[in-house]
Amino acid sequence: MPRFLQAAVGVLVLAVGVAASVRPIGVLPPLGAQLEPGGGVWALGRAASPAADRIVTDAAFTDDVKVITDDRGVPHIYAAKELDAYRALGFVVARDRLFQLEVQTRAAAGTLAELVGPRALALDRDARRLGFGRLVERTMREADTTSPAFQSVKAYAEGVNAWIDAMGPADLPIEYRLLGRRPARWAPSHTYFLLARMALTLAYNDASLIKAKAAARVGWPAAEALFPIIAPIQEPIQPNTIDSTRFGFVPIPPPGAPDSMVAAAIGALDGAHRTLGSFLRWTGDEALGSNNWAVAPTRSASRHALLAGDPHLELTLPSVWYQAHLVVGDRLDVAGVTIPGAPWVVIGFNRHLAWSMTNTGSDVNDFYRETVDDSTHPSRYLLDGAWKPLELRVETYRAPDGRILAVDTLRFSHRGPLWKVDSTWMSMAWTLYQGGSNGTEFLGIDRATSAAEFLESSASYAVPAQNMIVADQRGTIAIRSTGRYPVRPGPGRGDLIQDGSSAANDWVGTLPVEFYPFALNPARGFLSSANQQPVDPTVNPRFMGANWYSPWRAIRINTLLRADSQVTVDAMRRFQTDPGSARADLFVPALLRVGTDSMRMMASPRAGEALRLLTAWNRQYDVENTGPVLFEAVMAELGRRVWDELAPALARPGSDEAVTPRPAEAILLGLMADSANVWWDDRRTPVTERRDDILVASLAAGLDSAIARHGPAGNERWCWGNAHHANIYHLLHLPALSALDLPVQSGPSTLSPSSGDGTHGASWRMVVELGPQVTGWATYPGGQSGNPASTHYRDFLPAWLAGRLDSLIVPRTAESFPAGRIEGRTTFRKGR
Amino acid sequence: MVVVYWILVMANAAGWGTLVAGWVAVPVVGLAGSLVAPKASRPVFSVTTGAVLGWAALLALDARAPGFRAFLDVLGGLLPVRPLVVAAATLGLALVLALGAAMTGAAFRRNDP
Repeated sequence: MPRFLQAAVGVLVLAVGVAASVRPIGVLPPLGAQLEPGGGVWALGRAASPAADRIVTDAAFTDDVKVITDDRGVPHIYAAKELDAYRALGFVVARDRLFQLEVQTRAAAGTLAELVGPRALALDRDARRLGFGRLVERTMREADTTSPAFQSVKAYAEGVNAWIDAMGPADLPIEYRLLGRRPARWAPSHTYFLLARMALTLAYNDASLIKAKAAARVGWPAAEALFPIIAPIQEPIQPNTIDSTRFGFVPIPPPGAPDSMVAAAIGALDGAHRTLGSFLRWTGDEALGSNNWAVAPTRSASRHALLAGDPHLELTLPSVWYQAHLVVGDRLDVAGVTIPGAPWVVIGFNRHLAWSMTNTGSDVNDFYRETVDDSTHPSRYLLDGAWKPLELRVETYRAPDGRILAVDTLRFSHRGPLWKVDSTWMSMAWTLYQGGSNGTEFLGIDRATSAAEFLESSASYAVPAQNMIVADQRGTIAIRSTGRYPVRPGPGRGDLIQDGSSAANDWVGTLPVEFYPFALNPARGFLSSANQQPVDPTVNPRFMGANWYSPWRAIRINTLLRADSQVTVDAMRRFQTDPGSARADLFVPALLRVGTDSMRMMASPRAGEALRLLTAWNRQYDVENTGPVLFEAVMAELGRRVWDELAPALARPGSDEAVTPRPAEAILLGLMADSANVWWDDRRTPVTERRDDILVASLAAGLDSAIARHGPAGNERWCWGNAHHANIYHLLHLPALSALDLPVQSGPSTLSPSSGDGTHGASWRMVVELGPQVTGWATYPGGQSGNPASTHYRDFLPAWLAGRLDSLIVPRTAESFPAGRIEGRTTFRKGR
Repeated sequence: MVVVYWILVMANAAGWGTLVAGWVAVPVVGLAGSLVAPKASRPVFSVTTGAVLGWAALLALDARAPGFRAFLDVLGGLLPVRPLVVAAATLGLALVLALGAAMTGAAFRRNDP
């Protein structure tokens, strides 16, 4: 071959190879760095075992720290100084969860597009409209940088960055490789973004819209009864005087004339919710929920206090939790779960006590209709007859290459962010905007030596409000719904839109801690919470929220605990996945009563068949059970028929207007006793129905729907484990990295509720016995590692699915660590 | 014999070079190797084969990691092709980079005696 031709061909082939190596091809990232052995994707198998013995020298450390990773992938950090312990924690969390750290923070900060490109722009805009950037900037500006809480956040950031600096090519997580990106450095502000994001997940509860929608269709009196501020079934967190379930059903007024006055309010609220868009998804009240309970020594078989923690959240791979054990001399010895990105154990136990949390779900945000000086580009808003300047903030959205994708101008009043909704400007006040938790509370909780110290340390905790339960070695059990609750003027209700032009509508303060729902060592010997209304309004009528979760889980927990005066650790574990349902226990008998009307049943053989199947059902949601499929189908049909008046007459399917506000099922249960109530009539039919007509129709339609979906009655596709699944998606929703179609023993309203799409569930199950040696058992759905090739990516899943808990080891010293449980050691040394 | 010797030299150079500098080592080593290798070594052939062998050896080392099996499962799930195809693509990339560099380098060699 002539030389020039050889050179030309060579250059061409080389150019093709180099181009493929440095430029993306379609959806494929540049192949060079991806495919090169030793450092490309092939090395991920090596990075799957990062716990192998290593020594890390880093200038951030002030003393030696030993980290032992156990055979579950859990780090046990032994340090002489607290800040070094947090540095080491930051390092190992980054080692195991680096991509999760960054993507979670960017989601809160509204900078996802900088990582994944313009497709995330809409999400970023939603996030920034919430004003988290402004909030975190203020937090950082006002932070006492010498405080232990800030120092712990800073040390954690140094640890994360120490890992980023120490990473080899093989350690780059697969997600970064797929995106063709490198990890960003970690800053203390990222922790505060993460905490704001948690507040959004747990403390954003706006009952205004759903009630306004109902009022627009059936009038205010009916809407007030259907979406009450007092739950009709009371099984409160703070035990009431009768120490049993109190049924306080009130008559529901007949559907009234649509209230045209609220139409404008709905438009405004709907728009506000659309503005907050992707963050707000109402997923139904019987599918979600956390539990916790504590048993006093008098009712435990071992005569030691017991505590169960069972927070439910969105299920993801990797998990929202990261398990760790931190020991700093005699000053700190705490084990449990941390949120990747924050340095404190949030739920767990130490040598003296154990604690857990459920979400209080109180109403801590209000909407205001604002009067502004310019309907398009306002710079001032009206307050008590005077124009006040709005704070303007320019937000710039960038692509991964730095290019500007969009620019927004955000506006803030003294209450919070303003949004234009159609022609109305709305603002939102939210307790988070008054400042979130800075971590001081968790530093105190992690070190508390008694329930009293725990309560004192957590008293200043602000957002999101949590039902914090604690049990200590001395046998004390306590629970308090802790958080910042706004005190509103006038009747004090937060479920109505307020006029923003008057400062008299502003919150007048926050509730003092002594008024928080609280119980200590109750005579009944146990405490529990399951997101229900915390205080029976007959005890304390103060407004704390509206449209509360139906208390099915609370009833079930308390039923189990009342029936067992010798509670064991194993019983606590079994309760967490108990397949029983208070909802089914209350509704099925009501459904069966219709079967006594033989004439009616003869007219509907399908309903008769459904009744026969429900009669045979033991009301359990175990995976082999075929009953739940029919029951859930019947309940869906029942709700559709009873609440037809709430459905919009004319609405585009799938549109916001098409959403039917659905009262809690506790309201429906109350209606069961009133067979002639006009709400039973399905107005879409020419005849006037009464209760039994609707029950028969729902039974028949439920059976038909179950058969259409799962085949002939009773076949194996009706088994709950085949019909309903948990679906744990990877953060990028990549199916190959997700765990999908998992059969679970749980369902709506059971103690381990599972949402319809299976994407929410028990995120951490823990049982602790407060004996002379505090002992813990726990698991969570997933594993410690974010590397899909690691054996610790999803190794906890089998135990989680089976309702088993792993025994947690918490050796006091590195030297006493059982050798057989050690997977790897990392030693941190001070270096240059 | 010279050919085998240069293949081994190139395999080592490409392998170590990749560990140190990443994929870019392959075209650099290919170019340099094709300029200095004796004619008897059939530079284009020995350089290209050596680079592919170097990467194959590194792949074999990667495959010894405990998590490699799980990684292959993940890879198989992420991509519409079997992991073996990805391995072939990896060696193919080494081949293209080394071949292009070797042909270019060989074209610029001074006349061999």
